[in-house]
Amino acid sequence: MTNRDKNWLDIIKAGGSSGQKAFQELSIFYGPKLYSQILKITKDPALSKDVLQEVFIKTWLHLPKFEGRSSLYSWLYRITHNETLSMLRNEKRRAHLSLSQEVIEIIPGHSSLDGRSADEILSLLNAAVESLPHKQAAVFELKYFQQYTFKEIEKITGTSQGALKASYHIAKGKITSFLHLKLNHSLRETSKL
Amino acid sequence: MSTDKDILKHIKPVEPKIPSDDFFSSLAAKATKKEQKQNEDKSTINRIILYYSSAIAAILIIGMIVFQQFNMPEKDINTKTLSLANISTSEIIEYVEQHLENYTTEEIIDLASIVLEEEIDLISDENFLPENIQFTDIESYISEEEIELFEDYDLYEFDENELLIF
Repeated sequence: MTNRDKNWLDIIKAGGSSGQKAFQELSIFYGPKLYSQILKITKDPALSKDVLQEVFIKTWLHLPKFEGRSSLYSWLYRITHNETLSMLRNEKRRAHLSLSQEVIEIIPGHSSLDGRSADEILSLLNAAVESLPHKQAAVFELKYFQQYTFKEIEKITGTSQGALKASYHIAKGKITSFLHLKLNHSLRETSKL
Repeated sequence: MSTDKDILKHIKPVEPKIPSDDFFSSLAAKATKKEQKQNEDKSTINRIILYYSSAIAAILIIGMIVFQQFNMPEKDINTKTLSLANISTSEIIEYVEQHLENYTTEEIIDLASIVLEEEIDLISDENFLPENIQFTDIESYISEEEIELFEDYDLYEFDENELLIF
């Protein structure tokens, strides 16, 4: 855990108006990262804001019990992931997602991606990320989707760049295999018909 | 054409429009206020529960008092019974003789019936009279005392059951 996170936690645990102010600072720092994470799954800015509100409420409620065994971002990432899926399940909004904001674009030139929609690929990509351990998923989220440098991620998570690079490399390999498997399987099924 | 290993290079994330810092700050402020409100709501609910508990406790206490009031006459009877136990037989007889005229024969018969009905199960044919007293003794006692009872009837015309009832 970074010194910055530890300082926020100490102030928040102490309570009072200083705690509330520290929580606002924490939210300004982590909010954009968590919002992007939510938006990648919901593709709906309004819904993403609702989810983030719930994430902040849960974070505020449970932060005093956070023991710091993982980095604060990793913990927040997990809460956000669970809350996003929970909200989608409860509101059954998955059906409307394709009408919303584009999260990825397909660059032509890859045989497995030809003729696939961005929504289809994003669904597979999200499923692939979901299959990863949370720490790997968190690193992949920051590096691949939010395009932070390893140096920046080190500052966010408090994990060394070497460890982050190894984690990202493993995550990338798993996701590539997942996509390859799913897309080729789908291709075989289509050619059978 | 690219290989499968390069697939992620062909999927480019679109940079999302991120709201301003003010948005995240206000969201955080709402979260802390909402939590405070939830705590206040919990406090209100606890107060309501306390009021209802107090009301229920009061009702139970009142119920117990009323219940005791209903039971009070029985306790009085028990007290009177205990008091009677302390009065000697001679005192009771004396009281009855003094107040006998206050009652009609029918009233006495009725009262005696009630007493006998309560105690009848405790008295068997065998132990109704003490062992050393016979009917002849009673007969002679009545004639000696010149008590005019049952003038028109012979004492032996009554069976024991009738005597017990009377």
